[in-house]
Amino acid sequence: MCMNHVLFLNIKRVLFSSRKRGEAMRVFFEKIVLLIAGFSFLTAAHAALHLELTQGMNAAIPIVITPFANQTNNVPGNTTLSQVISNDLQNSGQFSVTTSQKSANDLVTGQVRQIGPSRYQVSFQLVNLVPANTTDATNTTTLLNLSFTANQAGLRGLGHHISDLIYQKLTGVRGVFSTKIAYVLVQRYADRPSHYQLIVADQDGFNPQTLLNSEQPIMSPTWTPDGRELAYVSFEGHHASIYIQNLATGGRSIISRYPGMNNSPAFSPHGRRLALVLTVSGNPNVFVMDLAGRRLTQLTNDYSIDTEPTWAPDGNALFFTSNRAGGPEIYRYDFASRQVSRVTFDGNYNARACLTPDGKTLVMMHRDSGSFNIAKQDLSSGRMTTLTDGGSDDSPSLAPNGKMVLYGTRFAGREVLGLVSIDGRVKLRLPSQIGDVQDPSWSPFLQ
Amino acid sequence: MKKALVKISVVVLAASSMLLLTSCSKKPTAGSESNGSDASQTYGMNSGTDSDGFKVNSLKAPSNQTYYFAFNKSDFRPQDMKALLIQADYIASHANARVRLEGNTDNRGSREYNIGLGWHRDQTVARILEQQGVRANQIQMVSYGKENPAVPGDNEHAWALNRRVDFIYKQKG
Repeated sequence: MCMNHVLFLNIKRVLFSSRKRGEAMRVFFEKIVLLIAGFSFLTAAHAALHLELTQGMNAAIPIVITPFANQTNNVPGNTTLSQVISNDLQNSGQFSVTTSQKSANDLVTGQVRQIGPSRYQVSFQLVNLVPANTTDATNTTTLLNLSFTANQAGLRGLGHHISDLIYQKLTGVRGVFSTKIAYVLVQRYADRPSHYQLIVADQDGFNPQTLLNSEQPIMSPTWTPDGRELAYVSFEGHHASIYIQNLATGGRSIISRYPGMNNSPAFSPHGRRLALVLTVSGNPNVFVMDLAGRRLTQLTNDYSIDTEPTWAPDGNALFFTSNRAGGPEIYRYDFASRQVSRVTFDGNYNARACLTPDGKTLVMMHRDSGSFNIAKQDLSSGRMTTLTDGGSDDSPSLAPNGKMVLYGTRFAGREVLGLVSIDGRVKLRLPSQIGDVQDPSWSPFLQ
Repeated sequence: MKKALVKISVVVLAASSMLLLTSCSKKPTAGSESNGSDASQTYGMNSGTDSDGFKVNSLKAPSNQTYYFAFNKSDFRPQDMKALLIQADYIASHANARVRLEGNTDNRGSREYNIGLGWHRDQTVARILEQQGVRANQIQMVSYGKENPAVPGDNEHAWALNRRVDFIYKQKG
């Protein structure tokens, strides 16, 4: 809700800059601004998603997280630092948060000290309780001992940062607790048009911010590699166009509005190029736009549906969906040779692929006897493994560390977001109190 | 100043869809009932609905239409051809007439792939129009894929109602 005020203020600033345009225009804009602000204020407050662990893992690392000394529940979300860290580690599926030091591998302790009106110093220690090569229970190893300062509003972010440090220290993998997710919230009504919202929230669903309200569909949000902007498809004016919107200012521009389809945007690893799907040649084909000069290169040219481009992490290849052989399958376009080769052969429906950061595994939608699930394919062996069993699962998006997949699924008659670990062993849900939540996109690591 | 203008246009665009709500009602209301047989067909701007909820296309032009498709197919149904040819003749002979084709799919499958499928359904209708002398600039095509269902639900009936091209006059000419 607090961030919605920020959005409101930014829109207001736009209003002031328009004053020179005349009083009539100003009144016109004011009405629109109030409409937008009203929508985002009302809906986002109830739209927060809450992570629920639905399937844990037996081999999770047991860890004790003691309440930090002098901590209060003044962390945004009416919670405490130790609770934020506990939730993060538990929901990662890699840890089992316990209260018994006897059965735990590691211990987290911490201290909070108020050093100003809204300013805090936070220290924490990560201690390994089972040192290697010794049976001496008193011989523990301090793995981390760090101190930070933060204002009250930043305490939740600090909690996530501490979770990231603990996660990395104990698993060797960079944590994603400080990242964000984008998704589309749809509210459908019997007596009036649907209401679509583009929302960005913390990876645990907290702090949703509405970036765009529309009565026309919004889809395919995707992050720039620096995490500062989102590209998405919006059907304003009954025309699919690709927009890029700055998250800090809310300002946006149209990046592609050719006649027909302008769909499926995907930034190259360095963010200098955008893969997209256009119908300027008739059928949906994959193009690459050089963002500096807006120059287009057409990569595919045939009579099938070629769509959903996604980049190999090294930028040397593009994977995409095509039904050139009947059903949709994943193909690979090689930039050096300009050759296309088929990648998936298991099943007659594989679509919407994305690649793990090491480029070795493809994650996609996979249909098996009429049931749509999320699956992965090892690119060297070609072996396909199904990760979910929701039956109507779509739109997989990988965490920047490649360890979790966020996807759209159905639960209790609603579209909700689901999470599954890349080994299929951990599953979570992000249910919403209102509407259908769909088409998620996980941010890159954020600075 | 240029930057300010860009920002202003952002606000206008963000709000334009809401304003369209009042200016452009997309779904035609059932103005005339029809039992589907030619003899008793009543004529009006809007189509009626049969007992299963499917739109029954008016045989008078200009009138908005809805054409349905089989699962994962973009073939035009022969039983709709008569209605479409009546609209095609009208548009071909009215240079100022403009239509928008809105392709849609059921809610199964990949979102962007379904946009492609809805586009192919648009193309099927557009090709028939163009064969009848309608000019390309009289036809606007947009595919909503599974993003704009006519009815909610996860069953064969809802899926059949959602696999459609909505044929909408922007200008009657």
